[in-house]
Amino acid sequence: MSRTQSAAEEKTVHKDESSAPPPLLEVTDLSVEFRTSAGQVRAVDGLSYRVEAGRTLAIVGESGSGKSVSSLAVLGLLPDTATVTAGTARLDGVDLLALSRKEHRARCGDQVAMVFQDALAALNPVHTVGYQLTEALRARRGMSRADARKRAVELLDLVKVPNAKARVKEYPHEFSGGMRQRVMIASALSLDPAVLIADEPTTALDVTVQAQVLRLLAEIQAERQMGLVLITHDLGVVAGVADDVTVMYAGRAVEQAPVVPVYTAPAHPYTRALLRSIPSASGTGRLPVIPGRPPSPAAMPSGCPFHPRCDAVRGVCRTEVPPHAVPAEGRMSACHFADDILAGRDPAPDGSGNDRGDSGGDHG
Amino acid sequence: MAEPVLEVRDLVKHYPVRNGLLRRSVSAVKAVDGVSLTLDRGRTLGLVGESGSGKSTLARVLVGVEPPTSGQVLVDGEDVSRLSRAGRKQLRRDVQMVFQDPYTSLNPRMSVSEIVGEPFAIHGISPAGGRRAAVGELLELVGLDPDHAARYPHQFSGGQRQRVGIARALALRPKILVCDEPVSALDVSVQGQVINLLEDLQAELGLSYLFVAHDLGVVRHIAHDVAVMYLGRIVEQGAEAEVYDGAQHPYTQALLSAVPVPDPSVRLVATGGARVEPAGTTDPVTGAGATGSVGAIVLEGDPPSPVDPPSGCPFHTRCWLAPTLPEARTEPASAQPPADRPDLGLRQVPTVCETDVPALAPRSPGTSPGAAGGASHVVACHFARELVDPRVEV
Amino acid sequence: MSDAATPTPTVPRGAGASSSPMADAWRTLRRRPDTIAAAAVLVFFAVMAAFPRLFTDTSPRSCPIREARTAPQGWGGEHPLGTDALGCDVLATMVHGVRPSLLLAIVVVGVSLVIGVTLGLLAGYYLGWVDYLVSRTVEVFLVIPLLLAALLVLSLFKGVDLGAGTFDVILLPAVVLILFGWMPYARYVRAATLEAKNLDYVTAARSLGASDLRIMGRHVLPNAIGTVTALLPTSVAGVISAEAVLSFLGIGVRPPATSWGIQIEQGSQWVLGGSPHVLLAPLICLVATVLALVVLGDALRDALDPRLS
Repeated sequence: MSRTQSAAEEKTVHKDESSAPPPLLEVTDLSVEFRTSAGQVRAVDGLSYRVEAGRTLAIVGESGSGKSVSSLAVLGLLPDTATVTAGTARLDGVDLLALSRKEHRARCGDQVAMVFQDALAALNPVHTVGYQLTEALRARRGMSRADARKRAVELLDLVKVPNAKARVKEYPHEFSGGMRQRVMIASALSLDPAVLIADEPTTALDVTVQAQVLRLLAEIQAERQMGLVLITHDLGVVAGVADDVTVMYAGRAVEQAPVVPVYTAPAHPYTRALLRSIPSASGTGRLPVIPGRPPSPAAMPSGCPFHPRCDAVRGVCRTEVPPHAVPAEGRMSACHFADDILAGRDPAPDGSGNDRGDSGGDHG
Repeated sequence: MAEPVLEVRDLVKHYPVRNGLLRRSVSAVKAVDGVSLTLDRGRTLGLVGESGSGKSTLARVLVGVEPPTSGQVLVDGEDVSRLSRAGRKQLRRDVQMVFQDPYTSLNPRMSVSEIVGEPFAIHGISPAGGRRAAVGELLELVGLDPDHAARYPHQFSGGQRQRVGIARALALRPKILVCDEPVSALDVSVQGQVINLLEDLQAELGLSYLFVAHDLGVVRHIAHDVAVMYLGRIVEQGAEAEVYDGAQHPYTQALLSAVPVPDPSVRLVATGGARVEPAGTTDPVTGAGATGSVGAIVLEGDPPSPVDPPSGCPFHTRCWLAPTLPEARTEPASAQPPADRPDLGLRQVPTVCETDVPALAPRSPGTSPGAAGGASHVVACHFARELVDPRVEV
Repeated sequence: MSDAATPTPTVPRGAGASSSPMADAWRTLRRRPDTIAAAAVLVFFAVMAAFPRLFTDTSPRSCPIREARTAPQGWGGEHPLGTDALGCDVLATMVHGVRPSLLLAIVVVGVSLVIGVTLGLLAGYYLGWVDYLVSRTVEVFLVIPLLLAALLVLSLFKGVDLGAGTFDVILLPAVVLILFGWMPYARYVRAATLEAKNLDYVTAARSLGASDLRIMGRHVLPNAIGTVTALLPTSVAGVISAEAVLSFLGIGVRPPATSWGIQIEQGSQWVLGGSPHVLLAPLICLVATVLALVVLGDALRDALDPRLS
């Protein structure tokens, strides 16, 4: 019930922005379930987001929040134990999730491509980098060997791998971590996708190399007006590169907003607590932390999934799943008290605040 | 007050690279190449650096897992290498380690009580009140329920496993904990809990920490003093505030500026239409300054291999400062691009950077030495005194 | 807020999650019907080995040649499973062959396992010259053909009276098969040790000052032995059939004792000669034993791994 309600609200949000250009990729109400020994477990629950040309959407969450699973679902790369139980992923007007497996695969790479965290594992050690870069081109576009080699050099040049002409003949182990991640990016770009999904692309890299790779991604994105989905746990990276942010917790989007207000005025207690818990320049003393840990998808708390760890919990949070409130123009917060959190005040004590969540939208 | 509990003098750890039929040692990975440190009682020394900087090797040498190639490690003034085998074992109780990955640092086939009680078994100690009670106390100390002692590691979350690892390290009442990236494998919301626990334990038990990490934010929070490592050497060292707010080594500055900060007004990349020039053509200093919102000094390339570190200053091949110095332009171009890296182009750096290893020395007499008796601020750069760069802030 | 005081286990596995691993193992084993069936098969053959007279009154040594190659007559007949080429009763031969066959398999696999695991562990843990010595020895033993070595052993024991006790009859094949059976275990354990000894928990034990013996026994071995257990059931089958080959050379289970290996070897000559039962009877027993061991081995490995219980 609350699910249809939230979907309806999602639609109204989009109607408000109908003047904006149509999104490249629009995911609506996506749900993914895993078959486990403990029964069906919902890893992603009613996730909606949109990716626009030339903009970067960051999906932030801790491990198990469903941030990676949701993009695997969009790309049709879910493991066999997982199924998409609801939702659409519209790319260019076509719902990817309604396609057959074969058609789905055919569209991926062409229009959506993915960069993985572990570049060493994602590259085949027995083929040269050049061969792997152009595998898709040769298989799908029927490109000749010579053309493919030329293209491979161009791609490596594009991702600023020095001395590209010589390096296409090398094998993945001859590349450093940062260079391998560049090769991965080049490979994802080989078919000129409209949307690039990068899953923790810099987590395994050192900070100085991370800065290089993030800057490279941003440059390529700007040049091609590509939509970029950046999946990460690092709020520093998000602040550094994202335009829009979706914060995920326990399989749901709990907050969606442009990047600046997420940091200056978070509208969900989870976002707020997460930002406070980052060790920062403010220095010493105890870190304010979020007590407990994320729930197991097999044992989801009732009501709002965040309520056992929330510092502003009220009675209604324990029983009712919060709707997708719109506390301000262009923002979403799945909290019963989104308005109060956004305004930085404590929600009213129990008894008077039950209908708060429905009054969204009167801030703008 | 400033009573050193751990002193490292000129520590060197080389791993031989063997080759050929006779397994002769043909060269060496210079993982740690002459490091000196002092850790005072009850304080935390943060050791930061990128992968390959030798910080983890240093940690392993300090807890006695690896023997040093040369150099001295003094615990409470006693030279570890001069002790007998029994003495070393005794001394080893004083220095314990907390590991990075809570999923591989606990034996999956041992129960938590066996894991936490193992130090007693190894050293043949029967704690007062019995081993069982001692394990229960340790678990309570790190915030775990003693009733869970019979459970196995896989039944705990990452943060809880890390607490088990800390309990094991505390069993022998050590004076020093070497923490090797203790929170980097944990979720953001759990990291803080473990950091707070470590700080509580320090206050309660008077522990000293050597805190090895690549996350500069975490180190800034927990450390009193900071040492920055690059290619097996310390390039800058000093009190936390001095290193973070007044970094003098160009590497430290680049490292600090590359750390993504959770503040959307400091962008790693420029937003909207105002895009930065491609990094290759931008002067790292002025280019970054000109765009304003982009705070990062982006270093070119990857750290060189510790098998064949550059001559002179180990950082000169990636240094953003050296080519901009007037010394670099007036001197003849002695730098040829390495055959395997023609991409580096003709980088002209001052000759002294290529020939002389800079010594770790105080560079700015104006700044006062560490306030609470900590190490004074020292930098290993020939041109550190030239650096006044208010732009770099974290 | 007390951040530290909320420890709850990730997945509580039933109320008694905190009993000993062995008790846990037993509980898991009981829940799997295939395990029970496999155990029943093994118990059956164990009883047969201990008390062969329970299953047949016929002596395997009375072989009237005129009754050669009698077809199976079913239960109640004189030769329920027929007779072989020499007129010996197939059932009796098979029943009396259980003891030497299984004993040989257990002794050979057990002793080679101990040798192989010890050497593999030492080689993988210490590397250096220990590893050099062990690895080269493994290679040498791998290239020497089994039959050649068997002949060598045979000549060594020529003229030595070995007696006719239960262990005496299997001594020669046991020596040969152990000599050439330990290498796979050594190789597997060495590889697993190399992997396990660099794990953080081994480093942790070392930083606590644990002795090498303790590290190997408590930390490395329990986590390295898993791959080897998968080898064991098929090794049993290998030993039983290899013994048949050795018996050709006169160093198998020594007559008058019989074994499955000898029976299979002899029976295989008559498969196409109209008497497949001579082969099938012992072969089915061998396959049943090996399958039972496979199932039981898997179950045991899962049960002893706390992550899967």
